[in-house]
Amino acid sequence: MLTATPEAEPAAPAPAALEPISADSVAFFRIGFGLLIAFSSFRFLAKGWVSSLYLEPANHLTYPLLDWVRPLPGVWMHLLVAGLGLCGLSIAAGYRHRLSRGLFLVGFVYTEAIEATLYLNHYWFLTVTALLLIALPVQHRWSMDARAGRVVQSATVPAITLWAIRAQLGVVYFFAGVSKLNPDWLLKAQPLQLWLADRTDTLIIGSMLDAPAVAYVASWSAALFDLTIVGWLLWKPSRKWAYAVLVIFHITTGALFQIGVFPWVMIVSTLVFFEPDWPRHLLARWQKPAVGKPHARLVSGTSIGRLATASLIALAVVQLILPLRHYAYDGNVRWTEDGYYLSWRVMLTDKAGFVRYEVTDPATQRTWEAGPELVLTDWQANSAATKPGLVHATAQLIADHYEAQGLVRVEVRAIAWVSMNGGPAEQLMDPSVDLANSDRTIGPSPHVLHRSN
Amino acid sequence: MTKSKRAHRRVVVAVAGLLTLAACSSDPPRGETLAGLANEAIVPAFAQLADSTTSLQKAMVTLCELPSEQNLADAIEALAATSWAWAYSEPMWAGPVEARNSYDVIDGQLATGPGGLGLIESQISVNGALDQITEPDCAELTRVSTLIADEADAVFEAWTVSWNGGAGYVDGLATSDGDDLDMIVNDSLVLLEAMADDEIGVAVGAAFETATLDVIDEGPAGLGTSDMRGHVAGLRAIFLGSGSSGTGSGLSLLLDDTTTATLTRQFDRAEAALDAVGSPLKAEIENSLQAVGEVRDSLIEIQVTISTEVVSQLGVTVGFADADGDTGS
Repeated sequence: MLTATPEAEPAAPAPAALEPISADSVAFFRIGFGLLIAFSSFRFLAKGWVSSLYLEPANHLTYPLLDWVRPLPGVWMHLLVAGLGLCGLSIAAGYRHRLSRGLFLVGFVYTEAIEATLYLNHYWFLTVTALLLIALPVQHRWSMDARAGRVVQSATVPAITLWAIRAQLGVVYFFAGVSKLNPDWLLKAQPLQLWLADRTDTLIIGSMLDAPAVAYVASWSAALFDLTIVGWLLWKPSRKWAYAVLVIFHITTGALFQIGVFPWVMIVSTLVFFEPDWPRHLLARWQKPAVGKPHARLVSGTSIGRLATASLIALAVVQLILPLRHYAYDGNVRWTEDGYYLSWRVMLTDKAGFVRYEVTDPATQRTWEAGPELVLTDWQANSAATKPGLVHATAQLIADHYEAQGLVRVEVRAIAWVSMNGGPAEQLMDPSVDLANSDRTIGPSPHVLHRSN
Repeated sequence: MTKSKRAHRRVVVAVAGLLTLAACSSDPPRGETLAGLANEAIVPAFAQLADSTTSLQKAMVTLCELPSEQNLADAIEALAATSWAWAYSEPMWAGPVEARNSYDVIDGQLATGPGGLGLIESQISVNGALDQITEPDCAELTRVSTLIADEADAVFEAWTVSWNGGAGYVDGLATSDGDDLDMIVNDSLVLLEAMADDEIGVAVGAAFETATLDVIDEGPAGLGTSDMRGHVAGLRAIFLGSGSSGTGSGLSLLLDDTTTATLTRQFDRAEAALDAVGSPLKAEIENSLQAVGEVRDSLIEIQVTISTEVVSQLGVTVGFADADGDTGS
């Protein structure tokens, strides 16, 4: 229980980053984050996605270097996702914080590594935020661990705790905004023009969504929003209005597109831009002031160790490098997808693809054709058809398939066509390359054909 | 001016701006395009099917009442016309045909062998059919052809007069939430894949399995090539319209000019390729492999354009996608 404490001895002034601030906001963030994880996990179970997305496919498309990752068998996979939900509840309650955050992080990363077609930017956000929360002292307020005395109970945290979370959110918005600064988005209003025209059945605003001008306004507004919202949220005079716009923005995108819990993650998370003690002020509006009972004083009971500080710096550096790494590669990242993962390229490009494979048995020189459906489900095949790395991975699965049938390692070449943002279809991969016997790498793929326009 | 008045003025200006933006739309609304597609292509297709099945039923009755070489030839001709009309309608089966399972009646497979059109074909297209058709056969032919005609009439009525107690299905397309468009495009892709891969592809040895003609869906009348022409004509009507020029309507109203031009060229190529292939299709595969290969290549070309540019521009979901997505592609 938090109690009033006597005045502390005057101490040497702390650096600004370590100045104690109210722990209310970061505690609320931890609770919201945990509850959203729990909701997301239980929703995943309720929709039957564990079976349809992880257990039913005979094969999975994995990330380079992670080919060995496989789903757990049957009920264990369900238990794992249920366990992630329980970790979420545990994080929210502040119960066994290190264990719950650690287990969640390991379990979540493993789950995400199973199937690359299911990559989502907001899953990456949950991952890095979980990592961040392990390093930050967010368990000292409103937590079962603090009540039970397993951690020091404190009404304050070092300021850097709040600023690290704010910076994480800033990274998401900023790089999402930077990625929108491309000719398709700004000069052609694509892909929003395509997507909005398909949403004319939306209540109230539907009838105007197929107007090109609406797509242009939406494209420019979204870019401006992503690039500037953090600034507006940080500036006190504009904060409330900026948050209102943010809520409308995310609810609108959530209504228009099937993006899961992403809007709610951002709506809840961005509350950290308000004053550190905003939950207390909010609660004060509803609670009667306690007569004769002094308010708890802010006590600087937590700090950030060297290891945690080093981890935060490392995480920050990685977060800056990952979204920018595509500049080191040739070609348009939206086409090649080299440097596409983990870089906050949210709802940025529309692609539709068609791929078939030419298979050659080197022993007989016989050549035949195979579709991706030979080794993938329809949803995997549709998603993989537009992504060079996954076209490559599919070719290797096809070779594995025939190898299992007793053939020698066959050669597999991809005839892949992709339309980006509704433009003319172009060949995605070099059709002369045997992808089955070519290694996949985490760097740029040498087999992608660059776009002509 | 007070603050309140200024705020009201801003709201009015914003609403006016949005309405102006809405008026700037250059393309016809999707519902309007789908309704146009239904009226210009789909309804005429099922009217044609209803007419041809009625003619077939009459030809069966005439043949059974007055068996003659001429009446047999008329019946075979009526069968070919019906088979073509049925093939033409296949890309348009989304809606009443699928809901009613009309193919079970019109062209289904029975436990004992072919049903519907296949049964009629197996009776009247074999050598010496006139001598082989018995009175019970005639009764069966009349019964089956009547069932087919009734089903085709029911489908036409479902489209135009009444569907599920309401107005015709065509009216619902104008307010469709996009599912119908998805189904039409998906059905078209399935049909193209069936022709290019499952039938011709396997028959010419392009698949891993041993080449075989058994996969060609062709009865003794040798209508395989004609049916493929019907399929391609139906697909053309869906994507490019069914007017005399064959362009400027259909789903092309929602596509950009480049894609429309590409599809026009590709359908022209497919039609020319099919014109160069005779009948029956099985014999042509054995004797004119190059010509049949050209048909296959042209169908794959159409498949690529629909799977990529058309799917993207129409915002169609290919297959079934249930999971969340926040990447766009």
